[in-house]
Amino acid sequence: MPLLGSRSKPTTAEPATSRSGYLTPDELADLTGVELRAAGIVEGFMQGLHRSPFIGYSVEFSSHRKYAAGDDPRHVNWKLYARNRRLYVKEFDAETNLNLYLMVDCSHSMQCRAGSPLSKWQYSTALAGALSQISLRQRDAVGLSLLASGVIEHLEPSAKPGRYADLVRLLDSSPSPKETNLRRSLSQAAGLAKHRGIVVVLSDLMDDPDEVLDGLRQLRFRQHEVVLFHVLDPWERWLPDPGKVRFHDLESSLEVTTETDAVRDAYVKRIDSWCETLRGECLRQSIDLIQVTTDQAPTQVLVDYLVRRSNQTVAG
Amino acid sequence: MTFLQPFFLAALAAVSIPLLLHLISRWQSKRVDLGTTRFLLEILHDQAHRKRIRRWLLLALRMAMVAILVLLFARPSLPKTSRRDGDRMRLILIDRSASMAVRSGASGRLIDAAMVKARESATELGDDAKIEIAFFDSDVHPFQDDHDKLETPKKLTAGTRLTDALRWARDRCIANPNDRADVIVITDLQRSGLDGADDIGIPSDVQVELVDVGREVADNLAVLDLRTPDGIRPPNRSLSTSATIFNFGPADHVDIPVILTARMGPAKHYVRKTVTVPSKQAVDVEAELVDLAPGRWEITLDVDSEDDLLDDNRRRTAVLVAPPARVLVLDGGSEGRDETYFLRTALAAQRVDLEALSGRTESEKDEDAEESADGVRFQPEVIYLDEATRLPNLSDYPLVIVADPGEMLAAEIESLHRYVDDGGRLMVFAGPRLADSAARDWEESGLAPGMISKPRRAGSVPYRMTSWDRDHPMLEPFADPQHGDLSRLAFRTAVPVKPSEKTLVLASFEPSFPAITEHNVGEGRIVWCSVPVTRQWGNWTASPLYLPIIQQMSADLLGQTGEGPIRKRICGSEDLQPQKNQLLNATRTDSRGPGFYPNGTSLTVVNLPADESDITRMEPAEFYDGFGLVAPESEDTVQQDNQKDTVSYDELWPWLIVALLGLMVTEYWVAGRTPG
Repeated sequence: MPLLGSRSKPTTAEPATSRSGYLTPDELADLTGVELRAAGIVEGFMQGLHRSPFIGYSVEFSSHRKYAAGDDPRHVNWKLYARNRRLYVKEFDAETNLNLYLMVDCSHSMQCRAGSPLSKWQYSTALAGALSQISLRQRDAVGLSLLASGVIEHLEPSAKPGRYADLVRLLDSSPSPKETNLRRSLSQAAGLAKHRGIVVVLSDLMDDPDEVLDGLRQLRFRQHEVVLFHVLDPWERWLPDPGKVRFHDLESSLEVTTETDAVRDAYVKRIDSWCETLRGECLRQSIDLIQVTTDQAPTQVLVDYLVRRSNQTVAG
Repeated sequence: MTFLQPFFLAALAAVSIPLLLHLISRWQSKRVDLGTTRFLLEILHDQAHRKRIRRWLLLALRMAMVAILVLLFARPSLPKTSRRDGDRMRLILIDRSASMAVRSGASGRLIDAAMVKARESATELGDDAKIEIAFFDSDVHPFQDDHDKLETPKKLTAGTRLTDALRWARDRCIANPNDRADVIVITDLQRSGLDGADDIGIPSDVQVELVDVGREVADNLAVLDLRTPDGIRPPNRSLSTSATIFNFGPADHVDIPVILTARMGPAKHYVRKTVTVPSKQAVDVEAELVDLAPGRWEITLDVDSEDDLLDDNRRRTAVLVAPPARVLVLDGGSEGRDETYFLRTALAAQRVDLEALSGRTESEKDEDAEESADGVRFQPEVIYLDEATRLPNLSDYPLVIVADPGEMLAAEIESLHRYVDDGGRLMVFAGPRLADSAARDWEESGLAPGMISKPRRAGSVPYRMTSWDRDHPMLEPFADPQHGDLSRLAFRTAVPVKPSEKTLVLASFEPSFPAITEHNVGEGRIVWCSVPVTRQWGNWTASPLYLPIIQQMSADLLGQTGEGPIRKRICGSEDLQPQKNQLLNATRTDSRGPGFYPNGTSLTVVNLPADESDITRMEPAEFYDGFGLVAPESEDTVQQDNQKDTVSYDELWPWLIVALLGLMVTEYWVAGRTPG
């Protein structure tokens, strides 16, 4: 079940207010640069972890992970399987120094900032920055690929000091190529992710759904655990405001003018269908899908995801 | 269609406003950047066709609304049917009263000149015009045929009534509101035509033209009236007649021969006289006819004068000469015990003119009764039932009076029944000796008016007549209490009768207590009185009313009341219903020309209306003013002509309002379902 991204505007994971202590997108927007934003997210994330009922878990990812094709059956937790009929593989400490591959969509569509102070690119890079900081803290190697019509920038995973600065620099670069070809990008990125690890894809997936899924399959084929952050702008998700609007396609520059009231119902229904298709496919491919909108507090998104992930593991 | 305020049409440029707003709204739309418009396009593509239609429809609706709003100010209208020559209507009124027989020029009469004018007027407007013609005298006679079949009327005998003629014209104008009408009145402008003049109400845009065919000066010597004493005259006595001759002409008529002629079959009597009648004055001429045998005499007075209107040189009347009617009085007593003295005395008395005696005291009436008397009408003969062995031949008597029905034997009652059944007239006075058996005999014979009860005494208040039929010829003279109040007669006792269905109650003591009734048996009539003819139950024999009421009851049975056998009429429309109080008045009309018209036992005498002899003219201005008309060739008439050319309009704004409201509702509905 997706953490976010239900048909109606989410109510359970709305942008965090100052009461929760998480930085809101408005507050993050006031911070300049990926580094500051990522720091804000991580700080909040740490606090959230402490408040979380799952306290005691480390910043590591779960000691269990889902079984992927090719895993050694000796490492399967059969007790967990007997309990909930799901296959999980134990990961030992030595194995938790994993590779984190961050793949961020930098196509022009990611520049959309209609319903939030943060564009999808800014939101995604902030999340990527936070994830890289968290991983680097536990001495996991972090790599980065920027995706557009292909992999336009790539950093091999590394845990060396200075890696974070490299990542931040690349994330701050804000390239905005017009074309998008996620299938090719993901396929290329999959080829570049030589060692098994966790692949975190942050993208709006504004491409042909079949091609997107094909690209993701490439990653899974290489035994990576794939976490997909499907980032959308609130306008792209719900067309929230009424009135006559001239929509500008950031990639094709096409303009469409319409009354949002007249098309909202049909549009949301269409988006829901698209998201549902993605969810179904991700479920089949054991890809963790987190559907978020840029008006949600990134920290809350991470915390909720981790809690959910932990619940799955405990339940397993 | 035209526009009453066409300059507002310039505002049609505002139709472009919705278009501009549409363009501006597109330009003013909010811009939102999306990562992809793919999904939007998919949606819009599905809706594109419907949306395109709705957008165009919406634009068209808004532009139409603006256009209608502009048209409302421009006031579009449809002109009403304008008047053209083809829609002309001419109404021609032709006077055919008696005065139109006045000579006109060397030959011919005014009516002939009128016909010429009428034909000219009818053809003046051409074949497209609608022509309606009506003759008028005392009535209106629309001519139903085509105007080219117009013929001079043969009969010019009635009076002149312009009011009815003009009302007919008015009604024709109102019935044809879209026709451009005018009225031509062809008349001799006789002043008597103004009688009853009032504002007719002819539409103000209808021109009324007066065509005067009369003569400024005409000579007319006319017999206005010929009078004889009323009622039946006794035979072999002189008959006084008087006539009024009026000279309406400008010159005196000197030594004009006047001939009074009385005819009855081959018998004739003549009286010749000469008269001199000064201009504009009247002269009364009296003459006596002597030794007129019994019968119905037709009397004519002729003035031998060649004036311009000859029809009124003769006047007619008639008189019935007959001996007093034999009246058989059946007295229930004997010569020594006379019960019918007062009755016989009343019958034998001369006729009393109640109107002449009105306003006088009782003693004055008694003293003057003989002076105002007007001939003996009845010859009573008495039979005393106590002494008589049998009744005489009843058919010798036009009237039989039974003074005491209780004394009549059944066989005698049966004889009376046969007498009445054959056409006889019977008058019965109830008496104290009307016992049960006698009453049953009368009831069974059919001669009683209904069921007879025993005599009933009045209480402390005597019986008085509380109601009577004032329109019945028998009691018509008592309609005015000034001439005699029947309610003054008081009776201590009376015989109640329950009238049958066929019995007519003429007078009542109380609503269910008849005093005088009449009913028919076979060819005859019976009048029944609920009190005796004597003073046994009331002292009415001493009342001044006793004599006239006895005479009226008797005269009515003999057909001598009302108009009598001689009916006098003047030329005019057929007057089938007598007007109230006109029974003794000679103003009833007859559609036949002047002359004598016998009808069985009656005779109708028809004369020209006297006012038609007065050929005094009125001025045209009096005609127009009298009837509320506008004379032609005045400023008002010119304005009327102009008004005829004015076209009126039916404005279309109510329909535009409806259309605008409909468009607004439709626009609101479509706009709500149309994406931008």
